[in-house]
Amino acid sequence: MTTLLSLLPLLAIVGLTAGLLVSVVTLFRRYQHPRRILMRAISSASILAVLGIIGIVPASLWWVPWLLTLALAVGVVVACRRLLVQAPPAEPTKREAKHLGAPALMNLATEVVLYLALLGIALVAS
Amino acid sequence: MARRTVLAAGIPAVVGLVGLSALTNPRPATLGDPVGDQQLTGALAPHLGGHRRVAVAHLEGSGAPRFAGFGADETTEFEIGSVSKTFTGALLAEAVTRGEVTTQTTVAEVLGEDADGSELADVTFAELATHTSGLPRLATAGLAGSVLANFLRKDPYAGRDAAQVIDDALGSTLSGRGSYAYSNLGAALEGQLLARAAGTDYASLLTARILGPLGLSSTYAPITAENLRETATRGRGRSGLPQAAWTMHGSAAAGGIRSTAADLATYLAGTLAGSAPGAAAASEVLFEDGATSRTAMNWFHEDLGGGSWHVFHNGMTGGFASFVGFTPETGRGIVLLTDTARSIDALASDILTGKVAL
Repeated sequence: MTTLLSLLPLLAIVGLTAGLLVSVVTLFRRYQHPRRILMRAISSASILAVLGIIGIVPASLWWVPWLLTLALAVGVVVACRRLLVQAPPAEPTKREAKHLGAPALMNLATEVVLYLALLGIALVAS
Repeated sequence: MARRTVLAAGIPAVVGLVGLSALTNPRPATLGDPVGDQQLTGALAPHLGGHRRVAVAHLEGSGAPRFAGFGADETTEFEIGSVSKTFTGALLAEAVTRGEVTTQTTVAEVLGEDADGSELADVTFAELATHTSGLPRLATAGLAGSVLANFLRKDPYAGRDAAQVIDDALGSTLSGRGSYAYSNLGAALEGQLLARAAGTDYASLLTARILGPLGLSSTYAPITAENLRETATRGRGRSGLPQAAWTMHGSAAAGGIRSTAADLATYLAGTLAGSAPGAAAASEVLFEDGATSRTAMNWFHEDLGGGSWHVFHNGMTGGFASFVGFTPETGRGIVLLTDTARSIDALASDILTGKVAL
């Protein structure tokens, strides 16, 4: 039990980083609704902020969040460019169709509120 | 897809992502430029990865202390965190010498009827100074605020003044009394009781009895942020983000003192030689916790494996870490101060045991 508890921060880092990597891959590969791109970016920014505010990233791995930030930002640019130069898939698979639709406004609003709360904490902190 | 629609989503996405990341992502730690004794800086630099500004004082026998630093020197001010408890221990030893209290004086004997009905009433100074009072590590009152302050990189102790700290302690439920359990609340109460017994406040008592006589003009307990000197530096957490100063208000006796490597070298030399006010705090063992660990008045004694006892205290705040210790047998002493909240205990122990030769 104690070992499990001591591994919790590491497991949290691994889990959240895996989630961020999925976002990066999705941004680079999938044709997505613009609001879905925005939501994915905001959600990823919130995860990175939680990692930073809690301070659980080992000092020697300080560059990992910066690398993920860079990858996500480039991913957003790539995803937006795809929207401008390509047409959406004519016969999308079930998964592709999911990305093509706009996210529910409530989901987007929740992500924005969480983002703003973390931004507030980051600005007030120290 | 309309260009305007895409840009309306893409630009906020990138700005929001990069903006929040810039505020919260970890910062790299670069060790400052070496200054002072080159032999010390050469030996220590390989062990200080992850730190930024570090100040060091090394004592060996009766010789003059040697100073070195990285981006800091012996006059640079640092928070010393829980090393402050050793000053509170010195105040206790000094109060005993003056006949104001004994190590067996109880909380009730100092606070009178204020302690009526409290589980803490018959707890002694010896128990508070050795972390065996049964008090919790932190007071439960104001705990939510402390957690929030930690999250915001603020001083988690700032909201409670001296009277509130005493009230918090009196209202606490004791658990495991007689066994060792590190308690910041206990050390804070110890300092406030000593101030109450002397009829003054903690900062004034500290200055009058320890800092003044030793000439430690760069050491002080600011108590609140308004009293920080212009020399006050700002530390960084493990992630490299800047942290607010911890002045700790009513809990200052447990960790709110700021000092320099030069002042701590003077303090350490005086304590080692037995000539500093309250030096007995380091040598008068009040609690034995096994064959390799015992506690004096807020000073820890440990046999780190070589058969020699090492006397020390470490400390950490939101943005600083510290270690002050010595080996009575050899006369070796070490002061390590860093402005990054990253433990330097292992390095300090290796210096005391000689594994890291300076």
